Amino acid sequence: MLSFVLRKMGMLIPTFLGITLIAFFIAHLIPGDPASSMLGILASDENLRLSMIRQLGLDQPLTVQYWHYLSATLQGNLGSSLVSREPVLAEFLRLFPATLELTFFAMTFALLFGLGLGIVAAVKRGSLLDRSAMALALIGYSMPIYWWGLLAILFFSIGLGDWLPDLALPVSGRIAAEYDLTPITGFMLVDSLLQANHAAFRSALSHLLLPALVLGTFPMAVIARMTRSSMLEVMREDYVRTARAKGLAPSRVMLVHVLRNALVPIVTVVGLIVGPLLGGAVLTESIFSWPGIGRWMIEAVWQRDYPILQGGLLLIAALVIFVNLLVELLYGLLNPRIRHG
Amino acid sequence: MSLLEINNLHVRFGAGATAFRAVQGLDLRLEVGETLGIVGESGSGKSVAMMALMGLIETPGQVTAERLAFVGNDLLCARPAARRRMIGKDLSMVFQDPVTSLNPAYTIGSQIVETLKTHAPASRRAMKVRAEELLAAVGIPEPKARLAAYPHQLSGGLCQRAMIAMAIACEPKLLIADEPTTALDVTVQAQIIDLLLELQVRHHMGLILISHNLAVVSQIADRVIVMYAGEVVEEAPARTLFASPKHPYTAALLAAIPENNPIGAPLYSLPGLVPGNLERQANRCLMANRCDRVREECLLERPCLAMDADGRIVRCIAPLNGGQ
Amino acid sequence: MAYSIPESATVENAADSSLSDVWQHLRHSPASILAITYVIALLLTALFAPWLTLHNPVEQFREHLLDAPLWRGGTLDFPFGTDDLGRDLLSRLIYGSRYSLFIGFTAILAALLPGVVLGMLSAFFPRFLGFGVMRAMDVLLALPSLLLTVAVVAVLGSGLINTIVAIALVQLPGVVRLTRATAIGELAKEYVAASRIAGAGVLRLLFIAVLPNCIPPLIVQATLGFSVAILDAAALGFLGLGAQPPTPEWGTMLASARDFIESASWVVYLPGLAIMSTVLAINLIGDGLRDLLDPKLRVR
Repeated sequence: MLSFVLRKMGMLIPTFLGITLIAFFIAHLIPGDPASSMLGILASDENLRLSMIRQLGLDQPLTVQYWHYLSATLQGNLGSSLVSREPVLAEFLRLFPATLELTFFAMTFALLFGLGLGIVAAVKRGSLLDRSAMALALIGYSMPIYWWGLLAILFFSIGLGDWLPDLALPVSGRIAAEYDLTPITGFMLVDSLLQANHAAFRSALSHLLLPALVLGTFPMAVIARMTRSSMLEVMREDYVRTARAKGLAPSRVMLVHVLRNALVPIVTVVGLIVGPLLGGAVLTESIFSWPGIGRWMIEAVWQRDYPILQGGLLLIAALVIFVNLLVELLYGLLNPRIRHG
Repeated sequence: MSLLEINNLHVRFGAGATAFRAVQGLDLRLEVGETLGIVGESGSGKSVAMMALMGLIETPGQVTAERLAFVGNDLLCARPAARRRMIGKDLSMVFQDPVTSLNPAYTIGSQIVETLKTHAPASRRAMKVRAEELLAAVGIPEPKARLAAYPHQLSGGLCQRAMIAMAIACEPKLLIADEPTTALDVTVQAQIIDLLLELQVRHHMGLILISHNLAVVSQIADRVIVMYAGEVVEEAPARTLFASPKHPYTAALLAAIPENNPIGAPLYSLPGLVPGNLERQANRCLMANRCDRVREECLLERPCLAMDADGRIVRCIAPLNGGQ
Repeated sequence: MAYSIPESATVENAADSSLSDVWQHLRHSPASILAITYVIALLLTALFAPWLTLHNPVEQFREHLLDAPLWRGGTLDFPFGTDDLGRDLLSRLIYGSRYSLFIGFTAILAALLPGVVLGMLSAFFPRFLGFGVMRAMDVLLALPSLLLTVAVVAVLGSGLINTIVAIALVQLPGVVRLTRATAIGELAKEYVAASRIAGAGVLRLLFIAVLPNCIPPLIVQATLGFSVAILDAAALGFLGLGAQPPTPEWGTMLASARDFIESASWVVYLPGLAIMSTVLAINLIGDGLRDLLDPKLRVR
């Protein structure tokens, strides 16, 4: 097993290097030179600009610049924001827990409901239940997230606000303004529990519900469809027939024999979903004013704050690669043939 | 009381007039300790019939019969839970492709223990010991180590032995072996057949062996049923059948065995194809279009399975007379 | 008996369905028929937009700001109401279809052409070229697609052409991987080995043997990629990074609609409905095509 893990990690290195290359070139492809961006108004002073260029090392050949960039990156120095002057890495770490909390809940929702819908649809293939579940899934993954978010706000917040004001869900921020939690882990739910502030916990939870639902809809739909098709395929296998011939209860056949093998492609899909999930987080955070890295990056694009763009992309890509590694390891765990082969 | 009694079994796939008749009116009786061979080519319905017995036929398949009894227990109207108590315990089945018939995600030890846990639960240790004993009983070397092996790590022959171990785990009264050696090397085939025979004698099991390989069947069967296009066309004690086949189809099967053909000449084969759905509904002998002894009467009516002048059970209006 | 390899290796065509087969399949699926009708209607509307609209999509009618649509007491003058700048929503939606469809088509084409070439090359020359191309695709895939489009647009600037480039880039790895996988699968087949022994050259193998078998899965990929392209383009518009106002792109329309959720909800749900129904229809068609052309990938 260990050699399997090491092998997988080794394959990541070229990909990671490739990403650093892309991140590096972003700064150099953006129109306007970085020195002027940094100087702002002072950029009209030519001497100042030239000395800035020297200071930033921009007069060196590209390969040298890349080397500097790479070594700085590996030491954790990803530059500073042009707008806030704060180090990119620090800002990322500060804002990341919000996004992580959101995506975690979205993914949990997606897995629970996706697997559930998919299993039910597969077991009751052809029934009304099956067709409704799949219709729901189709709508779920055809819906533009940003629109779904706006509609959700319309129904669950404004709409409920008119009829059942107590149940109306909040749509902005992570927690009601009146709660002033000291950030320990950065995760509102955890922090509020740690500080035994139950009202704050409830507030944080209610703020999380709508965005997580909206973000998790697309992954849920994909997982539901994949689960169904994967289970239907596995149900045709010879070993499922053997399991039935052993007199096992149908539920055991489904859960122990079918689902276990059906999980393999589902896990692959889950790995592939991380990308769209993070992309969706960007949009969701925009709509719900969620202070995470998605919103941070979008604002950076509008403000041409390229160090954030560079650093953010690099970190997110590293994250995606890491998650894919975990998925591959999980894959190896689920499928003994991959481990040994 | 017979071990197994099947009367007028029909298995259809689909509904209404266009349903595919996989098995048409099968009658079968098996006594305790008897070995029955069922032979026929693909599409004859031999596997489907046994799977119907085990309750493995799913929609759109429909199983109907006048009687389907195992050790006196009615399998036809049995509630699913009651049937599941018998399947895998007193009545078990071994399938054709052993490697794909075992779950690749679990060790063979755990799969054997699963059977024990369902039908003969005991302490985990006791079940593990029993699983090891079973592997040894089927001739798997180093059984203790093999418990932790995954199906893809074993050869076809070992997988088949493991499957047999799983099937006999609860000392079944009847074991159905559906083409157990077809997917295996010729050298291994003989070993598996010997194993089945040995187990049958030792446990005094009933054994039904399904095969298209007449050589294999002739070795161990007491009685043989020949099936064609879902129907039984001949039934006889093994020795008698192979010595003097009465039905033209049986004769054709025997003639096609390589050993029965002169070296260098093309193998004998029956022209034509197995009847499809439409042909099976016609009211005439289903072999008519392939038989070289066909007469006008064969096309008028479907012959019944009946005892002929020599006391042999044949479905033919002009059965062969020994050795023709 | 002498064995002779036929002059033209007959390639078993996965898409052997004739037109009547297609019709048989469709007949049983009212959803597919609806989807196809919708898409055709949309194509026609987009094509004949200038003749079908009542007003100019960018013309602002100052006296008719946020007019309600017909079902909320509006007039036939503005059947779908107007937006916050007094522009007719129906006209904007119809013209918006042009942008979405145009971006979708061109982005897919822009991804297919280099993608198929790269995929084939990696299959035929797996050692260096193949390895390099696949690692490059891995890099592209490591970035979430939306972020990659955002990055490209950040670098190149916003606007229609750059949106197309960004979306094409995001679709590229999928096309390359699919082509490569199918090509490798075909190359491993016996008839290819037979052709090679008979002396067939690389190009011949490519066009006669491999390419035709890559087409069915590519069609499925292209259809689904089309719907993704529409979603991504609208997402960029929504974020203010795609087509810029006053261009009547559906996503851009949603961006400015946020403030009017409560007061004039039609400005929110109409453009979104347009996006969703188009994507839904294309996904349905894609599913149907997948069932027809590539049964291995069946979702049903």
